Amino acid sequence: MTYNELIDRVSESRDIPKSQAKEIIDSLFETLGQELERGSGVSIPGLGTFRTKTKEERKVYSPHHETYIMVPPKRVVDFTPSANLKENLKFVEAGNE
Amino acid sequence: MSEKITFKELIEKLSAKTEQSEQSTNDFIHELADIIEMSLGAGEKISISGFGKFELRWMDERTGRNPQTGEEITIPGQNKVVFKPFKALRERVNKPFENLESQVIGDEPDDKQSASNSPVLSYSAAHVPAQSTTSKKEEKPNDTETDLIVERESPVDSPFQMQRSADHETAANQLVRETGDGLTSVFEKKMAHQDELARDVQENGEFRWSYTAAAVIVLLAIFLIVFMLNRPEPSRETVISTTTEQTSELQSVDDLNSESAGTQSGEAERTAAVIGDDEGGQSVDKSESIPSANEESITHSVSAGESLWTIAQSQYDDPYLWPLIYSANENGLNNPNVLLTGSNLQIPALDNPGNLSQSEKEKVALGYISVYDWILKNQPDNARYYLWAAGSFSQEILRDASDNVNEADLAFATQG
Repeated sequence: MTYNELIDRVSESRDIPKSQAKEIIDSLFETLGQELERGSGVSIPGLGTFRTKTKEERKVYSPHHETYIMVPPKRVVDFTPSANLKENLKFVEAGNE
Repeated sequence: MSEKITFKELIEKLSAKTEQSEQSTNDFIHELADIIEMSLGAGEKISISGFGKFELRWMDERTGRNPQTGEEITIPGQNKVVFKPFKALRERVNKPFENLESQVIGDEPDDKQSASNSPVLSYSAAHVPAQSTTSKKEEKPNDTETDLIVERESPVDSPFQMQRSADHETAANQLVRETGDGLTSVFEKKMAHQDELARDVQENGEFRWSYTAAAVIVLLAIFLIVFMLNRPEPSRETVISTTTEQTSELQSVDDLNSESAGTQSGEAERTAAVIGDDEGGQSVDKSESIPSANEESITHSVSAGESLWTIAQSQYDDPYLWPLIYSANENGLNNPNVLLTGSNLQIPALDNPGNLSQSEKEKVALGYISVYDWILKNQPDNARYYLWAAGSFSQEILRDASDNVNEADLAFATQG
């Protein structure tokens, strides 16, 4: 489902204009992005928790260089689906097998 | 590790932005979550532009273990909800580290070697307790969450060099905040240190100051507690310092130590010298400097507050290896719980304390047997734990020693 389809569906089910649905969804994910950018996180009921996680610098073997390289520390997004969402979808015949 | 804003705060922010009521924003997000769920259930992927995409991924059946019972169980195949951030979001989130690139560091560096050497240096530098306070302060954020690997890496110079850019200052500040969050990287400490002076002058320094102040307060509190506990019963010196540095899981072994130390009234006088007067302590027992039979070993000078446990922690990164040090210095030590300040200990060298070879394991087991012998004479009720520990390192050594041990203890060691 594309972003536009998502907006269409939400505006239909909420019975609000598409422009308004787009505005809310836009600002929702914009706010989420801002929070993640400053290292914070948010839980969204029914969906899950977004937060950031910092990975330490580490040594790995690089087959390309044929020697060890030091990979710098990195901050990444960590999403944990809510328990509800996880349980509901656990055994649905949908996963791309 | 990161702080989070609550859902309510999110709703407030959103409704202010979109000029909708908080109630309708709340309903809207719930609706959105429902739609995402339905869509995922129908096998669709949901892409959010500029953010990321949600999808269901099928995880095949696999076997796992019940962490409580260790029993093997089959985890059935199931779907997993996956969120994959798009590049734009990944880059935004990774901003604090965006200037860093991987660097070739050649052959796998021999970090064990440097790890086992450098604490010795820092210890001799931190001979006086007051100095060791300052050195601990710098490492404070480390102590909380560092895992072993990082600790081992820490003496290695980080190969990263920061390329200064326009937003360098921002990046540095974010890093400091991260450090406060418990993030511990060689690189960051370096960064933070580089910018220390510059930042002090700026207002942004307040982050740093608050953390420094907190660290100082915590340290003062710890020292106060250690000091207070020391007063009534000086013979506990070594043991108490052990307790403060251990996590709760190590408690049981520690209890044994403290019990046996507490009852060693004969030792009390000698230990008083440890706390009271460094020089006095040095003159009390010269026999401690007898070199051990082990050829490859380092000499370690005991500073105030150290115990075999803490020395093993600093030398090997594994406090449970302390009997190895005990057995190497058995001639000079009357009581494994009592070390004299200023005395020299032989620290047997280990190739890789995280992964002991068979013969090293046997040495540790022999150490535990020595400790067992001592405890058996002084605290017979507790001796069996040490026998058990010896068995956990090497069953063969336990079998060899089985002639000279108490039968009940042996039964305990072999069944548990």
